[in-house]
Amino acid sequence: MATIAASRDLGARVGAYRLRFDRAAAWLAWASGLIWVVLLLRGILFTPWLLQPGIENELMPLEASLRDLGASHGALWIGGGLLLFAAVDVGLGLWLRQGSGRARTAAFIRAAVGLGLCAAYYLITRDFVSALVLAAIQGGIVVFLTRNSGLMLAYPSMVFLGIFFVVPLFSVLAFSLGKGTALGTVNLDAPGLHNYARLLSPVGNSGLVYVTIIARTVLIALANTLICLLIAYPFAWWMARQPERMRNILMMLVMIPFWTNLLIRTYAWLIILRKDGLINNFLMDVLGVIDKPLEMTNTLGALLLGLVYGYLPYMILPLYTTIERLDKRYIEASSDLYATPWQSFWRVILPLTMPGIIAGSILVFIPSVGTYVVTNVLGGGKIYLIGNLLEQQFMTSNGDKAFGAAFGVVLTVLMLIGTMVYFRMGRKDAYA
Amino acid sequence: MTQLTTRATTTTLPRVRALPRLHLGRLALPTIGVLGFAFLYIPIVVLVIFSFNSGARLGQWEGFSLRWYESMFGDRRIMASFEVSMWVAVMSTAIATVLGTTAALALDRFKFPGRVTFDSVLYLPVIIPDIVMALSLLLFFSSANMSLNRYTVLIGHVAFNTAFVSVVVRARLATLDRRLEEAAADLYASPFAAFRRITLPLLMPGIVAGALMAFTMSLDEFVITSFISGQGDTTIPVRIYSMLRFGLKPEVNALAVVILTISSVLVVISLVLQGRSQSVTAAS
Amino acid sequence: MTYAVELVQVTKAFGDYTAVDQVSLQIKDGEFFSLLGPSGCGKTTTLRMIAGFESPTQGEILLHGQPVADLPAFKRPVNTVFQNYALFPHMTVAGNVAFGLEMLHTPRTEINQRVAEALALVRMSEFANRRPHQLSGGQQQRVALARALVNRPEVLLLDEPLGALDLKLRKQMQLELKQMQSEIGITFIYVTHDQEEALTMSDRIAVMSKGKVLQCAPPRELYERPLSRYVADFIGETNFLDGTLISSNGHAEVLIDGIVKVIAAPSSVEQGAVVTVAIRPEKLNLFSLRDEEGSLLDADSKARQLEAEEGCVSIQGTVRESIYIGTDTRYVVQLTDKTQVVARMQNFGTRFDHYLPKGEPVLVYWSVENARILLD
Ligand SMILES: Nc1ncnc2c1ncn2[C@@H]1O[C@H](COP(=O)(O)OP(=O)(O)OP(=O)(O)O)[C@@H](O)[C@H]1O
Ligand SMILES: [Mg+2]
Repeated sequence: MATIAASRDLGARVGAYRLRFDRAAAWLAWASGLIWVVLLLRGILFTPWLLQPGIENELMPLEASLRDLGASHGALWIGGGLLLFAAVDVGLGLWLRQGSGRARTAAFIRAAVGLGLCAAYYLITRDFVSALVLAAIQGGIVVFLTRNSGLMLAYPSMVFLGIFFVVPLFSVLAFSLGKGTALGTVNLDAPGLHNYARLLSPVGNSGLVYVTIIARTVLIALANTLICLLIAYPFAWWMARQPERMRNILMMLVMIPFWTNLLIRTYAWLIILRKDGLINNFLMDVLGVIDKPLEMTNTLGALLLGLVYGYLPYMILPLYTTIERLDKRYIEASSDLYATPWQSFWRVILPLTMPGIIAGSILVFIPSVGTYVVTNVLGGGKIYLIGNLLEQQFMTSNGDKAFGAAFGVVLTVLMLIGTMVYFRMGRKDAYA
Repeated sequence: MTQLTTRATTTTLPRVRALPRLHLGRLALPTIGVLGFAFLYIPIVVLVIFSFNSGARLGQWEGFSLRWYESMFGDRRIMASFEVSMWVAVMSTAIATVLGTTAALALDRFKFPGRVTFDSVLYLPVIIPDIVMALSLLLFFSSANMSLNRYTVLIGHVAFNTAFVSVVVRARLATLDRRLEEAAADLYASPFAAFRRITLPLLMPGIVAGALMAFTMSLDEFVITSFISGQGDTTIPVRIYSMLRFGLKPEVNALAVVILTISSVLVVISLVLQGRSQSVTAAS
Repeated sequence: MTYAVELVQVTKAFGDYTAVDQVSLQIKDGEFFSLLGPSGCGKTTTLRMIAGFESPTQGEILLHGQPVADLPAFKRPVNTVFQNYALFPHMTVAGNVAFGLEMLHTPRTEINQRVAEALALVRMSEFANRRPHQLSGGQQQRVALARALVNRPEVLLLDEPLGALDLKLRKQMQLELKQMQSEIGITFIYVTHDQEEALTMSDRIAVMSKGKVLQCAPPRELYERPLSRYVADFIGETNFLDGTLISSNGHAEVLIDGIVKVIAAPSSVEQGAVVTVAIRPEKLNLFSLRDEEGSLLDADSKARQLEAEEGCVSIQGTVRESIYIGTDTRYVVQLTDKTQVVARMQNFGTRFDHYLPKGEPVLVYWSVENARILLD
C-alpha cells in the first residue's frame, strides 16, 4: 500500500525541523553583520572629509564621535572592530546553518557580546535609533536560538511595547525625582523627592493648591461617573428590551459616538451653549425672554455636561452587554419567591449586572481624571484639574517637566489603587 | 419556518423573550431611551447643520452654503494635517495589526518566559489615563534625543493600537476551536500552513474589525498626539484644537463633519463585519 | 518483527495528575485495535500522544520501529478522526477532504481524483460542495473519515467517532467502518467507552482504567478469560462469588459463605487464599428440581447424573426472581443467605422453554472451565 510518509526517513526530518530555527538565527546574524558593515562604510566614507576643519553642520552621530575620538586613530580602532565583528557574524551564520550544537552555544555568547556592544555603541555615539535596531536584532538571535515559537511570535511586540510603553512609563518615575530647568529639560543630577514635597506643601497663602486640584479632579470624575451610571443604567435596560433587530441598530448608534472624537463632540456643545450660541439666540431673538445672554459656558455645570456627554457611551456599552446577557429566569425566580420588583432589583439584578457596572465605571472614571479637553473647551480653563496642570507643565514654555512627572506618577498610582479597590469591592457580589 | 415558530412562542409565552418591566411606570423607560439618544445626537446634528451655514456667526442660521467646506479644502495647513493624519493612521494600523495579532497569538497559544508580565502590559493602556501615556512618551523622546515629528506620533499610535488590536484579536481567538488547528496538523499542515489556511481565515473578521477600530482610534486620537507631534506634523484633531484656541471659525465645523463621517463609516463597517462573522460561527 | 505502533512504558502527567500510567502496547499492521475504558481513563490522551499533539512525560512511542518523540504532529504518517470531527467550518466538504493532500503538495489532478474516490467511499459525493454546518451528525462523521482516509495513512486514529450518533446510525456505521477497514487494510486505533462496540469491531482490545492498561487481548479471550475482576465486570455481565480456596488438586474448589462448595477451572492459587469465582450468566444453566407432577426430585442424584452425562458441576438454589427480556429470561437464584447469582436462559420458543416460577428449587450447573478464579 502506498504510504505518503515512508517511516524510513523520519529521523532525517526531525533534524531538519529543528534546524529551521537555527537557520533563522543565522539569517539574523547576517543581517546584523550587514548593519555593522554599513555603519563602517558610513564611517569610512564620511570621516576623512569630516576631519577637515570647518565642516561642522549635519554631523551624523557616529562621525561626530569619531572626530571627538581624535582623527584616524579612533576611526581605525572602531572600523577594525566593526569589520571583525561583521566577519564573526558571517562565519557564525554559516556555522549555525550546519546545525551544530556548539554553534548554538557560540551564538548565544555572540548575542550577549553583541548586546554589550550595542550599549557601548550608544554611549560613544548617542545614536539611539541605530543602537536600538541593533539591540533588537541581537535579541532576535537569542529568541530564535531558544527555539521557542511563542517567544518568536511575541518578541516584536514585546520589544516595541517594552521600549515605547513600559520604559517611558518608568522613566516618568525617574524624571519625577529630577529638577525642571528653564530650558524645559529635566536635570537629574541630584535626584530627590522635592517635587512630591512641593506637591504636598502650600503655595504662598493660597493653601494646599495642588492637593486641592487632585481632590477636585477626583470629585468631579466621581460625580461624572455617578451621573453616567444613573443615566446609562435605565437607558441600557431600555435598549436591552427592544426587539433583536432594533437592538443592533441602537447598539450601532451608541457605538458611533463611542468611537468618534471627543474633542469634536465637545466642540459641538460650544455651538449650543456659547454666549452667541443656539440657546442664547433662541431665548433672546426668538422668544425675547432675556435680553442679556446667559453665561452657560465656563461653569461647573457646562463642564459636567461635557464630561457626561463625552463619556456616557463608555458606560452604556458594557452595561448593555451585561444586561442583555442577563438570564431572565433569575428575575422570574426572584419574583416567584415573593420579592417585590424593587427587592428583585436590589437583591438579584444589581449583583448580577455588577460586572457591567464595574467595567463601565472604570471606563468612565479613568479618562475623566486625566481630561483637559473638556475643561478647556467648555470650562474655559476656569476649573483647573490635573489634566490642565499637566498640559501646562508639558506643553508650555514655562512648564516644569519634573514637577509634571511627579503629578503623572501620583495620578497613575491613584488610578491603580482606585481600580484595584473597586474590583475587589465588585468581586464580592458579582457572580455573573 | 423560523418565523412561524417564533410567532408561536410569542403568542403562547408572551413574556419569556422580553425582559420583565421594572415597574417604573410604563412610559419612564421609553422616555429615557428617547431622551438619551436625543442627548447623544442633538449636538452632532447641530454641528452638521451649522457646517452648511452661509454666515460666519456660530449660533445663527443664515442660509445654506458650502463655503466653509471650500475654504477648508483650500487651506494648505488643514490639508497638510489631513495628509499627516492619514499617513499616521494607515501606518500605525498596519504595524499595530501585525504586532497585536502576533502578540495575541503568542499569548493565547504558547507558553514563553515573560508571558504573564507581557499579558498585563497589554491591558495597562486601559487603566492608565491617556495623558500619562502622553507625557511618558514625551519625556522618553526628549531624553532619547529624538526630535518630535510624524515618526514619534507614529510610534505613540502603534503603542496604544497594538495593545488594542491584541485585546480584540484575543477575544476572537478565545472563540476559536483549537482542535481545528490540531486537525490541520494531523493532515500534514506545518504550523505555518495551519495558521495560514485555518487560523488566519477564521480569525480574519476579528483582525479586520480590530484594524478598523485601530484606524478610527488613530484618526481621532488627540491627547497623546498633541504631546508628541512636532511643529509641522500635526494631525487633524490637534489642528482643530489649535484652531479652537485662536478663535472659532466655521471651517472647524466642516472639518469636524468630515472627520465624524469618516469615523462613523469605519465604525459601521467594522460592526457589520463583526456581526456577520458572528452569525457564521454561530451557525457552524 | 516491527509493529505499526508500539508504546513502551508511556506515561503522561498533567501536573500532579497522571493521566496515562506506564502503558505498553504493540499494535500490528492492519489490525483493528480498540482502547476501551470509562470516561476519563486516559484514552484520548493516549491517542493524542500517538498523533503527536501531546508528548509523553516518560516512555517512548514508535511508528514502524522508529521513535517519534521529536516528530511533530504534522510530520507523522498517522491521521485522526476527532471526537467531535473538527471539520474546518470555512471550507466545503471537498475542501476539507483535499486539505491533507494539498499540504503534501500532491498534483491537483490527483487530488481531485482521490477526493472523489474518498467521498464515494463514504457515500458523500453529492455533498461535496456543502459546508460542514449544512450536514447532519452522521454526514459530518463520514466527511471526517474521508478527510483522514484520503491520505492513505499508515495508522488511523479514531476517537469515539460514533459517540455523537444515535443508536441505530451507530450500529450501521460500526458495520461500515469495520468493512471499510478490512477492505483498505489500514491499521485502526479506535477509542470507545462502549464495550459492545469494541467487542463487535476489534481484532484486539486494550481495557484501560485510571491510566493503566489492565488487559490487552482479542475480544473472545477478553470475554472468556478476563484476568481481573475489573475487566470481567466492565465487559459484559458477570457473577462474582467470593470465597476461600479449599482445594486445588485438579479442579479448584471454593467454599462460599462457609457453606456451598463451588468447583472452578484449575488455578495456581494456593490453598486457603481468598478468591473470587467469576461466571457469566449465560454460562449458567438451571434445572428444575420438581418433576411434571410437582413432586421434588433428589438433588444429589440429579447432580451426579448431570456430572456423568454433561460433565457439569452443580449446586442447589432457589429462584428469587425471574425477568423476561425478550431473547432470554434472567433468573436471580439464591444460593446461600448472602449470595445470589444471575443466570440467563435463552428463549428458544420450543417446549423446553419452561418458565421457572419464584420459589422454585433448582440446580444451577455449569461446565468447570467456564468458572474462573480471579485473585482480587
Ligand atoms: N490538558 C490537560 N490538562 C490536565 N488534565 C488533563 C488534560 N487533558 C486530560 N486531562 C485529564 O486526564 C484524564 C484523562 O483524560 P482523557 O481525555 O484521556 O480521557 P478519556 O479516556 O478520553 O475520557 P472520555 O471518554 O471522557 O473522552 C482526565 O482525568 C482529564 O481530566
Ligand atoms: Mg476522550
